[in-house]
Amino acid sequence: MLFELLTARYPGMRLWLTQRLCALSMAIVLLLFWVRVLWLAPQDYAAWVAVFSPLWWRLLTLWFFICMLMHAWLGVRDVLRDYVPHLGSRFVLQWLVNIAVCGNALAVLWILFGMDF
Amino acid sequence: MRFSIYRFNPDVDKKPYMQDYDIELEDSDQMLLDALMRLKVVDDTLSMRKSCREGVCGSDAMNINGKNGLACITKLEDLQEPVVLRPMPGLPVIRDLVVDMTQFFDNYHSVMPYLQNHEPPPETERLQSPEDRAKLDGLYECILCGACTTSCPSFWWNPDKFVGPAGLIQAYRFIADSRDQEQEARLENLEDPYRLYRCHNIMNCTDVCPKKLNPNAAIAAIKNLKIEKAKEHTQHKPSKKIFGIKVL
Repeated sequence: MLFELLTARYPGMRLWLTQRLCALSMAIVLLLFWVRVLWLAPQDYAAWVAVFSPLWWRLLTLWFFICMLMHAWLGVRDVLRDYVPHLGSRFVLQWLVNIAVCGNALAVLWILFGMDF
Repeated sequence: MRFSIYRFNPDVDKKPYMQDYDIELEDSDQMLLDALMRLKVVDDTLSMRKSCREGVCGSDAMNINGKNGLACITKLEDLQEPVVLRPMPGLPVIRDLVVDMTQFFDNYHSVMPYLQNHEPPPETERLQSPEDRAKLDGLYECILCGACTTSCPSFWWNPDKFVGPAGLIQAYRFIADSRDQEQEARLENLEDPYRLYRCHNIMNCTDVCPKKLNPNAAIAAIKNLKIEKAKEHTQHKPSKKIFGIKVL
């Protein structure tokens, strides 16, 4: 049912709702993060590595960053559509944003899954 | 009292300029409109709109020291000098403090701001319960002065696409009306990415409303209602299954 609300049937609602759902997801994961950090109380680098070493936790962190990047991408897209009326300039800026978002996503992937935990 | 007022006469001026005035006020001059009327005695070329002089008609909406408001209910003692008066932002200036509100009223008319009921009219009025009537409080009082809409950046950048807070509070006034029979069509009318969803809740509208209304709350109520209606709509459909698993 939730997915139905995010389809082309509701072109306005789906973008707005996606951004809110991303924000809600981030808030939940952030809360879990603080609970986990307070629970494990890491004091040094090795302890911080231990916080992020379980696969399920890394997947949850990845989900957090996917939501954050999606939330930011939608927000910046709106800002560009409002403030950059020139189509060519907006197209270039939007592509720069897309590249930055993809770069950040790759960096997150590399940190979470490319390093030894 | 010192004033700095936006002046522009398209027949004479190539570009707008700010003109300074020093006016001697009398004890009876309490509101900004009183001062402007006294100013017009000194300089009758200054153009502005006014009518009821008591915050009901909304004609004398203008930008007062950087914030939209009505001259007739703005106390002079609350204003810092020089009082800077400009026309409402985001609308074309016709002359001095007078703006062209055509776009504003086009947006207002686009939400069909009238009751739509297809039943034959009863002998007396269409009745409502006190609870249903209470839902219209804080909505019907809008005087369409335009202070909220012209303080909204989303309207400045998309005046022809975003309905604006004044239009949306009027839209919700009829969406929430128990006597109206076109709720679904009204919600559908606000479904594109701009008409309703360009509101980013910065709440300039609520901050400036001279009638102390809350267009932002009305906009949030429309969004919530749209989700409720969309959920109802999708509940009648069978759930999708991916690899045999029922998904949300």
